[in-house]
Amino acid sequence: MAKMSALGKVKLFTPLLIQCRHKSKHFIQRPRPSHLDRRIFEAVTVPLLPEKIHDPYANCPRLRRRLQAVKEDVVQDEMENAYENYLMGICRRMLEENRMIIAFQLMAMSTREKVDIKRQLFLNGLKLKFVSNAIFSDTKWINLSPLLCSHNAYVVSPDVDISRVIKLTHKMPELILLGGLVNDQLFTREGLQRYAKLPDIDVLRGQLVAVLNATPSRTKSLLEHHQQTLSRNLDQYVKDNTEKS
Amino acid sequence: MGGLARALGLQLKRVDLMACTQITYSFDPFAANVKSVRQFLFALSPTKTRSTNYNCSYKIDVKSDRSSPKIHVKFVDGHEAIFKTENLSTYDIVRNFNQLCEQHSRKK
Repeated sequence: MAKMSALGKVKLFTPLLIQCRHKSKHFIQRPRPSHLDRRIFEAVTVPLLPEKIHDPYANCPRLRRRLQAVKEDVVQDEMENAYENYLMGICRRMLEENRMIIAFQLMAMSTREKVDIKRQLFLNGLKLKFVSNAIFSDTKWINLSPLLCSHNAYVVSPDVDISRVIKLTHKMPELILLGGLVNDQLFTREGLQRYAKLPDIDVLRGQLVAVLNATPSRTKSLLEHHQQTLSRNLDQYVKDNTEKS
Repeated sequence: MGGLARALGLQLKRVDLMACTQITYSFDPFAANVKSVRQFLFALSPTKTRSTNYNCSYKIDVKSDRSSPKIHVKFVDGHEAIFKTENLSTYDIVRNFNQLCEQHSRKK
C-alpha cells in the first residue's frame, strides 16, 4: 500500500502548448505558385546583372603570368634569351672544341642503360651528348640539318678516332650510326665506315711518297731499257768474236 | 599539334607486334623527309612495345645513297607490307600499321 501512495504523489509533465499540422505535407519539389501580386512584384524586381563569362585567366596564375609576358614581350624576351644564350654558349663551345662530332639515332632506353653507355664511352676518351636540334640553327653546323630531326645523340671528342667509336658503338643497339662531322667535313655512315678502315696518316703519307717515286723511276728504266739491251747484245757479240778468233 | 600528338599517343598505346615477324627500316638520314621513319623507329623501340612479341626482329638499314625511306613489315600469315614513308606523317604510319596488324593477326 505504501507503494501505491508513493505513485499518487508523482506529478506528470503536461506542456502548455501542443503544435499539430492538420494540412497536407508541404511539397518542396513542386511548390505551389505564389499569389499573383507577389509574382508580379518578384518579376519586376529581378536584378539585371551582367552575364558571368568563364574567364580562365582569373583562376589560373600560370595563364595570368603568360598573358602578362605577352603584354610585356620585350622585357620577358630579354630575360629568357639571356639564360638561353648562356646554355647555347656552353653547347657551342662544346661543339667548337671537338673536332669529331658523330651523330647517332637514339632508341628508347632507360636512364641506367644511358649511364652505362656514357661511362663506357667516357673510359675510351669519348663523350655522349644530348643536344637540342634548335642549337644548330644559325651556326656553321647547320650543314648537319638533314640529321637534325627526331631523337639524336652525339659522340664527341677532340681527337679523331673513328674506328674506336665504330668499334664501341657496334655493340650498342641503342645507338644507330647516321653520319658525322669530322674535321669540318660531313660524312655519311658509309663514308665514316670507310674512313675507319683507313690506316694511320703516316702510313698513308709513306704510300703516297712511294707512288710519287714510282713513276719517275719507271720512266727512267723505260728510257734506259733499249740502250742497256743494245749494250748487252754488243758485249755478247764482242765476246763471241774474240773467242772465235 | 596538341590533338595530333594525343591521337598519336593513343595509337602508339595500341601497338601490338604479335602479328609481325620482322620489321625492316631502311632510310638515308641525309635524304629528304626521313623524320617520320625515325620517329616511328623511336616510338616502337621501348621495351614495353618490344615485349608484345620478342620474336619480332627489327632490322635497321642506314643507307648512304639518298634513297627514299621505307618500312618493310613481314606478318605471321606470310603477308608483307611496304610503307613508303616519304610523304607520310608518323601518325599515318602508326595508324595504318595498327590496322594491318589487326588484319593479319592469328587471334581472329
